[in-house]
Amino acid sequence: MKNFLRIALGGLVLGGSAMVATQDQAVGYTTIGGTLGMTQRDFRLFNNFNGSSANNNTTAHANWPQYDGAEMAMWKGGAEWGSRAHGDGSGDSTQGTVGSGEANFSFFWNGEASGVGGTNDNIISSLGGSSGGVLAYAETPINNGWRIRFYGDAWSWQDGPGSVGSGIDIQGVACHELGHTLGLGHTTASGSTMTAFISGTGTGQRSIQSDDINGVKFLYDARDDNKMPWIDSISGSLVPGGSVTINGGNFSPSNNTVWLQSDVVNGGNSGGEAEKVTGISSGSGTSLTFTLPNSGWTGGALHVQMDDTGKKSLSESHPFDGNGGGGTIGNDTIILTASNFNPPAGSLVTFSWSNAPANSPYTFVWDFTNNAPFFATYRGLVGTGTTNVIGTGSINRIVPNGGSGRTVYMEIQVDDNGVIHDSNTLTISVP
Amino acid sequence: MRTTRWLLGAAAALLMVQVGSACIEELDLGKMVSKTDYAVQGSITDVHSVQFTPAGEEDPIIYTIVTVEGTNLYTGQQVTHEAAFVGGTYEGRSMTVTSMPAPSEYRLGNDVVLFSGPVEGWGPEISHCVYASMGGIFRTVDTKKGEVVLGKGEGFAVESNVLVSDLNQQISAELVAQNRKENR
Repeated sequence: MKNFLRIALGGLVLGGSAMVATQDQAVGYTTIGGTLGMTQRDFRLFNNFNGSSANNNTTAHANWPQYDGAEMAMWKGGAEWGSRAHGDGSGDSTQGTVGSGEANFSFFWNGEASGVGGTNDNIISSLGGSSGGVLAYAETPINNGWRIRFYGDAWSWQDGPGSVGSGIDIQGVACHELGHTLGLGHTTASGSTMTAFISGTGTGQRSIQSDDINGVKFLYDARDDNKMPWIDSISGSLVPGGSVTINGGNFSPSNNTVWLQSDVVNGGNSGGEAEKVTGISSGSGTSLTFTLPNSGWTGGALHVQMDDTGKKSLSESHPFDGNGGGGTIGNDTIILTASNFNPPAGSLVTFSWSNAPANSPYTFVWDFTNNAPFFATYRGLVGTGTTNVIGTGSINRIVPNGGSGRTVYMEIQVDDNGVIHDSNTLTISVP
Repeated sequence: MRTTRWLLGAAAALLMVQVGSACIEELDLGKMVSKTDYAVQGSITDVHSVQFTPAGEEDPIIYTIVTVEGTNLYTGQQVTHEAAFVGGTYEGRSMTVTSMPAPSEYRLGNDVVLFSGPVEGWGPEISHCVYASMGGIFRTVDTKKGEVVLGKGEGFAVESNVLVSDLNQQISAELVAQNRKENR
């Protein structure tokens, strides 16, 4: 035995070439033990990143509705592991398609959290203090949930969305860390997302490579195109109580479940649970229609889970720009103001707006109730039209005589190819 | 047969050091030297864990402190050095994180080269970390040709197996290149 060890260790000393040969044999994904069951697919972000560059992407994208900054970056990082392309796969200029896992696995983006959560609450957050050379880590084991911490103060985190010139890319590191949470360890396959180190700024880690894909397939089996549901499009009335139709494939005749993002924002496990619409039938297997709940959900991502006689399978994630049911959506990026906030009845008021998407249809609404942060429902229209080429506009209105003594709340909403931008809420009190 | 055994042995030893799951910055020796003030070649004489709740955190974080007695390759001086990494088990509570070295790496009595740099906010008992956590500790083994540091592959400060004496020379060159003032 002693001789054996001596031979082995001697070989290591001398073996430049032997070392290379041995490393070649060792190339490939590794696993850390465990997988994520269907109840652990959710992930959220407690967005406590302090650095300005971590949240300075305010450009909305139709494939990633209602989120920007670090949230959009994290969402993309998880969606890359999805079984199929997320929506049309667009939204990351550094790779062709987001959603490359090809396995029977997809993460479920459930939006924001309000705290770092416990070790099993599936929340990503920033951690202060020195990093000691570590960018981020995931707390394991994973079977009952996990937690990811980014060293938020130690690095210059970048939210993209394009290539990153300096600092460290949130999306790339998120993709890597989420790879750990789904059960992968490190690989020695050069260029893979799951190599131990982040190369350069880390944008290269955004796109999983063949070795990563082999790893997720090993853990969750390859996607079964004859069984796994998929989503091609969503149409209908994306408001509380609205009827929505999902077109795709492999839906089961009955007992399909739609996973919506929950509007519960907390730092506990309950905030990670999807708002589910259950018992949905699909006669054709390629289309299903359901009614959006009146509360409990927000827009963002949506999945369909089919039920193949008890063996459930979850679709890839799909963008869902619903207006939310009691949720906390609305980004207030449009600036809305009025010439007079206390206009007498019968007087003329000019409402004007700026910072809106250009050449896009707007809906200017009002209500006696302040429905901020987003007027998913409203009492009446102030007007509709199209914004101009620089995203500004104005409209004149006479205060009705019956408005005396009333206070109304107003908001303008602009539809930028399916992404709804809204304004601050305007309060008009008529003397 | 002898060759087969040799290769199997080499592979087995390599597997022992293919460890951990981290997300660390890409390093080479020069970068590691620039970010650390200790590179201790010696033996691990103590391993224990502590917990501390950093500012802004609700729950304590567990840190494992490794003590290495040996030579600081930056200065040539004999030192007893403590360095910590995040994760470990404290009073029955475990915190396992993907950046930790594998337990086989920081076992009591192991011979290692440990790179270490200062940290802040890790509590009163910790002034230095194992830099890049699992990326900062390297096993060493005695061979007929001398003591060898086991490399960890691409992206690590010690990429390939190297004699300690050679590593020491490489470190000296880096210190000169970086205009470091250590008294060697």
